[in-house]
Formats: sequence, C-alpha cells, structure tokens
Amino acid sequence: MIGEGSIELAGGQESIYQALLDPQLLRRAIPGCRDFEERGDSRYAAVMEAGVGPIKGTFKATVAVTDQQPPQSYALQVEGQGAPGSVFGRISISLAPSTAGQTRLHYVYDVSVSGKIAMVGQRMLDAAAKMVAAQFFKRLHEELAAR
Amino acid sequence: MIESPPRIRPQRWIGEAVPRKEDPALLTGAGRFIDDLDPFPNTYHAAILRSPHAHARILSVDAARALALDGVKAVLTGARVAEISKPFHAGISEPVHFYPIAVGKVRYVGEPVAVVVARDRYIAEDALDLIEVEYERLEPVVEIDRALERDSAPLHENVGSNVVHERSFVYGDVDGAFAAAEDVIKATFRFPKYASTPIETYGVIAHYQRGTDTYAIHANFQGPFVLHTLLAAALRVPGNRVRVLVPPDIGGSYGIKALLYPYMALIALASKESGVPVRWIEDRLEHLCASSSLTDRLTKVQAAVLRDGTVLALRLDHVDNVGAYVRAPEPACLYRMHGTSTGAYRIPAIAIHNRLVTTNKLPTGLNRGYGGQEHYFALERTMALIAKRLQLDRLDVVRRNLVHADEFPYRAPAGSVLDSGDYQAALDEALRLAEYGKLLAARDRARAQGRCAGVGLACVVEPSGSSMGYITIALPLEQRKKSLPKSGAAEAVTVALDPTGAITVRLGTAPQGQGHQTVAAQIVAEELGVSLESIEVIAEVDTQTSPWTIASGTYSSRFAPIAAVAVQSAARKVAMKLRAIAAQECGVPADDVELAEGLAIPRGERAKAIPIKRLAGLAHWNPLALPAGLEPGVYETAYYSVPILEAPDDQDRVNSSAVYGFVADICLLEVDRDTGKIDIQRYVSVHDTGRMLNPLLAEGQIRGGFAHGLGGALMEEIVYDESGALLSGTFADYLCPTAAEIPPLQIGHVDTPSPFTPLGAKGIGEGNSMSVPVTIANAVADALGIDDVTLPLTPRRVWELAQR
Repeated sequence: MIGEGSIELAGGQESIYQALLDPQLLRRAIPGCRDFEERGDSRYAAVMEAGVGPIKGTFKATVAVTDQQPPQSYALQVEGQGAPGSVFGRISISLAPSTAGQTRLHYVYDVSVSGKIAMVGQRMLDAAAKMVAAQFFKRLHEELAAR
Repeated sequence: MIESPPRIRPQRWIGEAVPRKEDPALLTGAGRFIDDLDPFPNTYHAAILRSPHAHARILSVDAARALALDGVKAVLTGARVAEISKPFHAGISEPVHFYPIAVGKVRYVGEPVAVVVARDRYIAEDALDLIEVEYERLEPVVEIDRALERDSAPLHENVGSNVVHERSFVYGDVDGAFAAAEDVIKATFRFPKYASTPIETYGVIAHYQRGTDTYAIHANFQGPFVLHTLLAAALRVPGNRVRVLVPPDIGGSYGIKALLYPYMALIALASKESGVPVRWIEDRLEHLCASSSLTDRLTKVQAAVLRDGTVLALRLDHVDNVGAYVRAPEPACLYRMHGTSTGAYRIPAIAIHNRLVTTNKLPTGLNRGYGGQEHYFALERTMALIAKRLQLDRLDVVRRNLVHADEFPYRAPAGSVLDSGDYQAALDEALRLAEYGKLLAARDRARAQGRCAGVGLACVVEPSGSSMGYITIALPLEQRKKSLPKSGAAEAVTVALDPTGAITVRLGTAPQGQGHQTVAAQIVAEELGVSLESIEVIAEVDTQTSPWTIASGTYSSRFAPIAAVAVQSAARKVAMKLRAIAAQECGVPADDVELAEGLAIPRGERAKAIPIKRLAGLAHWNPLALPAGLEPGVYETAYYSVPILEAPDDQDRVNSSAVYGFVADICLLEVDRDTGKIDIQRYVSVHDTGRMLNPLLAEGQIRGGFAHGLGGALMEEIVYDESGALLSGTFADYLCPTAAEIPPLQIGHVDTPSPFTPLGAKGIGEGNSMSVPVTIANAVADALGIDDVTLPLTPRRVWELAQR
C-alpha cells in the first residue's frame, strides 16, 4: 500500500516535531492504541487493536524513528504482528511552516500487509489505511490544540 | 484377464444411461462425509496457526500462554515435528525437505507454524492468538523470473538455488528439422496459478493408539495411495501401522484432496503428542491459502515449420513453479504430459528443457487436467500463431498435422502410445455441430457491424490412467537405474457374495462424486446376470481391509480405463465359480451355464435353472459339495494393470498414460471493447471416450471439466503481491464460475474404443479442463487481432488488451 497526504496542525514546527515523538501523546492519538512506550535508541514498542472488516485482533509493533532531521523530517520504520497478520513498512513525515501559528505535515507511506488481514481484507485495505491515517491526524490535531 | 464366459442372453448394463446409485442418499442429505463421522470417543479439535509471512526465519515460538488456556491439551510446533517425523520424499534429486509444518523457516503465507489441540474448536482458535512467534523476514521470491535469477534468496538454503530441478530431452532429429525449416515460429506463454474449489474442504480425524504404536487416520483423501507409503515413512512406522480410512462420501476434489496427506501426518502427530484423538476440519480461508493448486508456468516454444504449415519439430522450454516445496507427487505436473508433448500432432522431433523453481507461494499438486492446461495453452496457441504467421487457414494447419486415423496406435516421439482415435473425424464432427461456416459468417457479420468477435479452436489429446513410472523420468538414467523400474497402474477390486447371495463390491478408488458405485454395479450386474439393485458397492477405503494398490485412488481419470476393468475381472472370477458350481449341480459343462435374471441356467434347459443365491449358499454352507479345486465362500479380488504401461526406456521415452482420448473444441465469442466482458455465444466440444460406460456420467464429467476450464480461462487466479502476501483469500477475490456464468455447451462424440484394455473405455474427466482455457484464449486473440493473451481473461485484462 502506498499513499500520501497532508494536514494543517496548530502549533509551531519545533513543538509539533517534539510532540510527534511523545509516547503519551502518540498513544492517545493512534487509533486502537493500548500501549506505546519508548524503548530507548529512538525505538518504541506499541500494542494496538486493529482490523479490517471481520478480521480484527491485537498487533504488537516495533516502531523505529530514523533519518531524524529536526525539525523538518523523520521516518518511521514499522513492524507489526498479530493474529490477523503482519504489517511492515515505512512512513516518512515532513514538516513545514504554514500560515501564522500553523504547521503543514506531509506524510508518505509504503506499507505491506500480509497474512489473514491481506487475504480477506485486501480490497478494503486502502480505504482502511486512509481512514486510520485521517483519524490519527484528527486526534493529533485535537491533542495539540488542547495543549 | 479372465476369458469372457459364453453369453446366451446377455442383459446389457455397460453403456446404459443408468441413473446414479449415489444420488438418493446425497440428495436427501443422508451422505456421510468426513465431518459427519465420529469414530473415536473423546475426540479433541485442532486449529492451525499459519504464517503471515511469505518468507521468514522462525526465531522462536512461545506457546506458554496458549498452553495455560483452560481446555488446551497440547501445542505442536515445527521443531517438535522435525524431532518425531521425517520429511516427505519427492521424486527429484535435490534435497528439498518438506515437512507438514514449517521447520525453521516459513516459505508461504498460510504455511502451518503450530497446531493447537483443545477441547473444542473455539478454544483451539482462541489459543492461536496466544502463541507468540518471532520472525525475521527474508526476501520474498514471488515470480518465476525472479526465482530464475541466481541472486534470489533461496527458499531451501541446503539446495542453494531456487532452480531445484533441470533436465533436457531430445527426441528425433530436432537440429536437422530446424535446419530444414522454412520458417521458425517463436512464442512465450505464461500460464496462471489456479486451483479447484470443492464444496467440502479437507478433513482429518486421527487417533494415535499408544498400545500398539499405530495410527488410525480418517480423511477425505482421494489417493493416489502411493502417498500412503510416503505418509508411513514420514511417520516412521511401517505401512501396516498407518490405517487410512476414507469416508463413504467425499464432497468433490478435482485432484486437490490428494494433497491432504501432509495434514494427515500433521494431525496424526498432534494426536500422538496430545494423547487424544484429534479432529481437524479445514475452513475455507485455510483452503484457499494452504491446500494446493496447479503450477504457474513459463513456456517458450520454437516451432520449425514448412510454409504449408507442416510442423517438423518443436523446442519447448518449460519453467514450472511448484511454490514453496517440491511436494510429492510433484514434479508430476511437469511430466504428466511429457510423453504426449506433441499433442494430437504427428510431429516427429521434439526437444524439451525442463526446469522447476521454488517460490514463496502455495505448493502445487494434482488438479483436474494436471499439467494439460499449461501444456496445451502453449501448444494450441502456437498452432494458431503458425497459421497466422504463414497466412494459412487455421483448420488447414491443424488438419495437416493431426495424427491420421490409420496411424493408430501411434508412438509419439517422447514415448506416449496413442492407442486409438480418429482425430480428423472428431474435428469434422465438431465443425458439423458448430455449423462452422455459419459460425465464421456470424463472426464476420458482427465485425462488419463494428463488434469484436472471434472464433477459437483447440484439439487436445486427453491422457487417462497415469503410469506409476512416468515421474521417474525426472531422474537421469543413471539415477533411475539405481532403483527398481516402475511401470503399470494397477487397481484392485473385490466382489463377494454372502450366504444369502447378496452381492458386495469393494472399491479402492475413493471417489469424490464421479459415480463409481453406479458404474461398478452396471459392470457386475452385466457379468453376473443380476439386477442393479441387488448390488451394494462400498466406496469407503480402509487400507487395512480394502483391496488397493499404490496406484489406487481417483485421479488421472483412471476409473474408466483401469478400475472398471478390475471390477469386470473380479466379477468374472465370481461368475466362473458360480458357473462351475451350477455345472456340477446340473451335470453339464461349465461353458454351457449362463448367468441371467439372478439364475444360473444350463443352455436350453431353463427348467433346471438354479438361483445364484442357492449357489452362493452352497459355497458358504456346504463346502464339501463344491467341485474339486474350488475354495469355500465367494470372495474374489482381482488386480488389473495396463500391460502397455512400460517403465521409461533408456532413451527417456515413456508412455505416461494407459489410454488417450481426444477433444476438439470450437468456440465463438464476442468481446465488449468498453467493458471487457466476454460473451461466449457458441461452444462445441467433441470427445473420444473410447467405449462409453454410462452416457449420463460421461456428460456430467464433460460439463464439470468445462466449468473448471472456464474458470481458468476467465476468472480464477491465485494472486500474490510483490511481498508474497496472498490477495485471493476469499471467494470475493477468488472468483469461480457458478451456473449463471456457464454458457450452453454442445457435446458430441466420435468414440474409438481402446484396443489395449478389455473394456476399451477412456477417461473423460479432464479433457475440457485442458482444452477450454486455450480455446477461449484463441478466440479472444482472434477477436482482438492480437498475439499475446494471458489468462485469466478478466474484464479488466480484456479491456486493457482491447485498448491497445
């Protein structure tokens, strides 16, 4: 699955860059996320509930933050696995100043999904991925606005 | 063979359109399928954890939390299976180890990783979620082209390459023919991976009996029972400690249930590990990702031709993709058509280069048509391309090359002995039924009106009754010589009369809906002069008590050419015995006794007739009164193998099948350029079935094969993305034709009984699976005026082709 998108976020580029690496904030923003903790060395361990159509379950994921160029860009290497299947891929994020007090975030993802979730849900996966991304950034926006 | 007794007033049953004996039970919901059986008390249920990855190393499997779940009895992992069993043998030289579960690595999405045994299926499924497996992902190798590259990650590191088998063959003066050729036609073909979709999925109920160190395995297994030998070897016990029991009814197979055997081993081992009987019924998701399919194949063809369309020689370069393992009976898919590589044509020379590759896909195996659809796609597309290139009439090219009626039996250069046929007459009958002139006119009229119409044609030889020796041709001669030669294709049948004269026929064929009980009853009724209703035919197989051979089972359409003859032989042994007893009772020679109407009748002395049940009663109750030399009881087993099925010779020639039918197909279709939809307007299929045993069943087989071929032509494909993820895991994504999508089919016959078997019957179950994909491809190529056609011809693909 390959996709991209962008969103306007409230806040300066520097503070948003920091917020995006804050485990507590991420745990609240990622849809279905039960746990998100820092393991040091820019690595995180996450547990989340996710699914497509009838295939749902718990994924355990490791997320490594790479190619950090604060406050412009970084990438996330994601490897997740659970009963419904596995997810692995890369999400690149870049930030740029926008209108006053706003920051524009651009994301590009290239994610592979395998196992039962791909077998059963592949026709729905693209739409599901877009929905999850949209939910995430909507919550992120709300979290940042509430600060 | 037993000599036929004299017949005074024969009641004919063979060849009659007798309704199926099987149907009353099936149509009233009284069939007994694997999941209806409950053979062992306290049976537990298995669920299988499957790989989400195409290619990955298994770093660890932690089942502690699953084992802690209330109701879970055991968890079996690949590491444990490797300790307590052996890999299955396959017929190639390279050491590709295949276990029924991933050992060390996973090699396709859906490969078993662990088996949970629990009190019920719910608990077993829940426990799967609690097993933690750590994987290290490896480079997925998905496509044939990548597998051929030296730097692709080898699936089997001990082999070191994804090319796991390679052999070259030359028959006749191929180089000379290419030097003499006036033109050389070259083409490349890709055939997709698809399967068959029986309504009933796999099922196994296994019980390891500790006291005797024996396994009892109930399974809806279709044979070939040579796989029983492999199963016993993998379980590390002699064959007499693996009792395989096949239920009375199997809900379809089309080849795929031969590949149940690894699961039979896996569930048997799960029973051994857990100490309880274990039941596993495969669900549809499992079936679509981890049962079996036919191979996808890359074929490069070179045809040396004269300008008049005569084909002097062929060079075939095959790369067959067997998926993650070479799972026996592979590489049979590549070799089943080997002896028949020149098809229906009198092409005197052929060179064949065969390679087998492994990729991170579902392993392959038997599938209706097995190797034929791949082979004829290349051959019959090539024949169409030859006509196009030389600007000749397609029919002229076919007619010029077909084997002539006076050339049978015809020895093809690679070894098949085409037993009988009149291919020209069969083709003419197809043309007559299709009203070929009008068909072409209709096509041209549609074109004149701006529509896109095409006519397709294919002529295929349909082999049936596979020899047990043909797969050994995969081994070079010197290696083949190290083992005993393998020939023949035997089947065994028992016919017994109890003390009341009631007749029981016991088959070893494990049918899956073909109607073997019906045909067996017809044959026995005719031989013994009794009514059809008086005969019980048992299709359940029990390897401890049924008659069977390594070739037993239902595959390669072998019932008609082989098993039916074994039925006849066993019935004739019984008839000889009954006539001998009657002859003594009546004081006449045995030759003068006929069996009819349930009686043994001395010729011309109907008043002295003795009911067969009295003769049977005598054999059971009064053995002292039997004629000298006759044993008590009436229980006769006959084995039959086809004498012409010799082992491969030193020149690598092999007669791979007992008999050879023929199919000529003609199709008219229109392509909607805007939607890509294909509308099949006319489809005619003419068959040579040898001697037809039951026209109703023959028609059913033809229609079934047609539906399967149509699925392959238009819809069915097992699709993986570039990461090796399976994308066709449900019936929403893996489309099969239903009754609504199947166009009318017009069937004809030009039957030429085989001279090589006593009944002369030929198999008929697979011809259209072989012929339909390429017939439709030829018609679409004609409609769109293109050379490159790839299956399946889905609306999207056709639309793309139409836009070029």
